[in-house]
Amino acid sequence: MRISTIEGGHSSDRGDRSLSLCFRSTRVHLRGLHTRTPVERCTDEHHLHFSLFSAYTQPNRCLAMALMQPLLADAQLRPVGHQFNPYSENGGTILAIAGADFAVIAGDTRQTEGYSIQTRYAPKVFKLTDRAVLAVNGFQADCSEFVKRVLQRIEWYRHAHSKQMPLKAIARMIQTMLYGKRFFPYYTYNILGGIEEDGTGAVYSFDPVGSYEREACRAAGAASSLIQPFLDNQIYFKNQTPAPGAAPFVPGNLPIDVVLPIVIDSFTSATERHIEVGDGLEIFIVLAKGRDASQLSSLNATEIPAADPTGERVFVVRRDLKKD
Amino acid sequence: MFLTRSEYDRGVNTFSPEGRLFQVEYAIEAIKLGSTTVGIRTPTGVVLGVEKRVQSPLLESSSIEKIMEIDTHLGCAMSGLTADARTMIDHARVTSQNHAFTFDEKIKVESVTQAVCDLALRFGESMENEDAMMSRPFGVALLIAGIDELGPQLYHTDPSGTFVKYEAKAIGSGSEAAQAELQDKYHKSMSIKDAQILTLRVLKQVMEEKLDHHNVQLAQVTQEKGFEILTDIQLKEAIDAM
Repeated sequence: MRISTIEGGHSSDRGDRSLSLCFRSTRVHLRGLHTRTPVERCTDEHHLHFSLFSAYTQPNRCLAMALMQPLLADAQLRPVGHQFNPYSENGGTILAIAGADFAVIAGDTRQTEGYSIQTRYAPKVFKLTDRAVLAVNGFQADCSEFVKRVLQRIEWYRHAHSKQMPLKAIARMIQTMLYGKRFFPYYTYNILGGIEEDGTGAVYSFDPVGSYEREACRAAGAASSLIQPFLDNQIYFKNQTPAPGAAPFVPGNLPIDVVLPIVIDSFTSATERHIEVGDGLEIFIVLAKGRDASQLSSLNATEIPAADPTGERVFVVRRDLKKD
Repeated sequence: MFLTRSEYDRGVNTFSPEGRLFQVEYAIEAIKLGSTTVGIRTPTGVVLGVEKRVQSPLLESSSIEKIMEIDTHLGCAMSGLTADARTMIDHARVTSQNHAFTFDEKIKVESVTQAVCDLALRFGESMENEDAMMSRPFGVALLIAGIDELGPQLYHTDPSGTFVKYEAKAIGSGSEAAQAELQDKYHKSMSIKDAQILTLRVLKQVMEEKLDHHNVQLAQVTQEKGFEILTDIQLKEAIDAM
């Protein structure tokens, strides 16, 4: 009797995903095998779905698989793997930086698939409320679907509670929405920026399944590995030491006229070195209530009309990036 | 009149020709049989007070529960069929927790009141493929007290699912006399202590038995401590101060 262990039979398929085996013949005949029991039970099934998980829960079936090795050699009975990959990766990059009373959220506008450019203008940064802006990156279809749902939930909240959803409430809601699809995730990297209830600038970054954190800055997407170390140095002052006698560095307090050039330089540099970044740049700037906007005049910023003109204000700056 | 009424007061969601829902009106009547309950809003917090009817000297008065916590910043007092209130308060608690979980913030007093009132109208005959509904309207009214970003607030809900915001409100059997007294004595700049004393005075006026720490219960919601039911010692102090 030939009995090999499950590892011996399918070692090439040991991975994190389950392997689905589908036999072309609807019935596996056991007559050619050197044994009669105990596999007869499971050979009646037309399909044998087999996974590492079932190796533990259904030892009988696994034994059957092992015993069928000689049959699998036959071309007629060779297993056919079926795979469906519902995701794609559309390039582009996003970043956000928080100041004491403002937040800057930016993204490029190129959308790619492989080496192709699908469009030179696909916005990745969206105004959610008067004080919240969301940047999304990853799989474009999931991104646009996710933003739609977030906007809908924000509107429902406004109707139910007769107020604008606060930034930290949006952050938590995004977590629950992402985690709600824990087992078929939105392939999106989200960065939320805006003004908190206490008037401070804030940035929240998320992973695709909802783990989130409030930070002073964050880059995500194709060029995140190029931009994040730069931000770590410039915003978090990593590998910098204050001059002797000078005050210690505090991240998240840089003035807007320092932050905006850092954002622009990040994207021009990423455009140089990363093929999926380029075409256009959209920089959203959220200013706390009552904050002076004169520093934005040199940048040709346009204001997005607010629901409450006396509260926070959102501006957008659009610039070109190299198109090659 | 009574004959025509009997035609239309059977179905819980059948309007009478005059446009009334008798079962809902009867449910509102049920509250008038309940023990008196008072709520007073002040600039620093809200005070709730209830009369506990101790029908027998053998009854443990501490087992009568007419004030309940909804969340750390929300409390509620009831009058009427208090057993019905359990369903409503359970719903309010779940709503409040769910809001905190989803939005990382405390739910507004009005929102939780709205949620309770949404539940109040889910009675009647259930459709096919629908989960069993409630067979009749709730026979209880609530005073919902709480603090949110808009400050201390007091809401009154009734079996028709209507809710109204009050500065001071009395419900239950002695509500008419109590409300008149509140209208007379309430002023906007009361302290929490003033509100406690006024609540006790109003209850004392409408209660048949002599008021003591066994047959009344006080609770308050304040910015500092949130919702709390006054302990025996605190209650005795308030009674002595009266």
